[in-house]
Amino acid sequence: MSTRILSATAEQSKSQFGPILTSALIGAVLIFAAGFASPDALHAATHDTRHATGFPCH
Amino acid sequence: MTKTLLSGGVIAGAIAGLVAAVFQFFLIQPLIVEAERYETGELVLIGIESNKPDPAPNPLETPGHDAQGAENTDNLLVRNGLTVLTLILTWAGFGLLAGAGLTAFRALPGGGRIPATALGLIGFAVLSLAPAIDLPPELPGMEAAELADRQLWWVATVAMTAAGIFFAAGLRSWPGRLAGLALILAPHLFGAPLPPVSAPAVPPDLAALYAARVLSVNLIGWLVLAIALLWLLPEAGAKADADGLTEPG
Repeated sequence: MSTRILSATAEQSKSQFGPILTSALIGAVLIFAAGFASPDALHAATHDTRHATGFPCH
Repeated sequence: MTKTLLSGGVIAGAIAGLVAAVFQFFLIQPLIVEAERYETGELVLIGIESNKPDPAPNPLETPGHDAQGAENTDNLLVRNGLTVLTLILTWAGFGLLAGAGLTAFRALPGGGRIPATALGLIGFAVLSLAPAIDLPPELPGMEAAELADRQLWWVATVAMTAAGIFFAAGLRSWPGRLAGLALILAPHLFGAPLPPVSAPAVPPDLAALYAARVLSVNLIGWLVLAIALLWLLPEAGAKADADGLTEPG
């Protein structure tokens, strides 16, 4: 029983590795663009959000 | 699977971002606008006028920093519209990270089910509380260390706290727990880049109120995000249902 569950878990984690990585990468890119990227126009657009979310700003 | 995970993270994050945007205009934005009046020199703290640097232009001076611009209705609409949009994008990013973390945690030996409150508190601890312990949410105009140094410390702290909680909660072994604890503590023992010693540029009570409100709103956002995310990405117990939804054919 436990062997079956373990192998099912291993199989499941293997098949989920791609989606997990994709989701984490897109999430990180969004957060970088909104919270960290330095072009002036981007900084102006995200200024209040950066202060309100606790990202380092200025 | 990928589609469900991505759409679940984005939708849960967008809902949390909209909730954060509502609180933004009642609790956060008025304090930012007030601080900008000190930043631009329109208001000056009594007794420290002589400590204020000459009005050297801020290299990052933008419409967002212009207190006069804030009085212009068009500018204000654009500014607030962009804030709502970028809040939604930021929280969508949080949602995607939380979805990835949740799915990975479910696959760990010690992982599995997690209640919404725990997921929300972990997200809040990783992306809001841990960096705020040494780098509190700052108002415009406050003295701070070099931006790149603070950003590096922020990213390192978030990454190490996330990894630490993951090890401590998911591995269920003492070496794993100790390694997790060490990762969580390390950035705080190292310490964040400190601001130069100087007289305050904005009222300290305003800064304190601001930090408290930002953390409170972030906590609410994270709880909303977690509830929405668990609703959109069902628990392991509902795996059969989830598979039916995510892997047609």
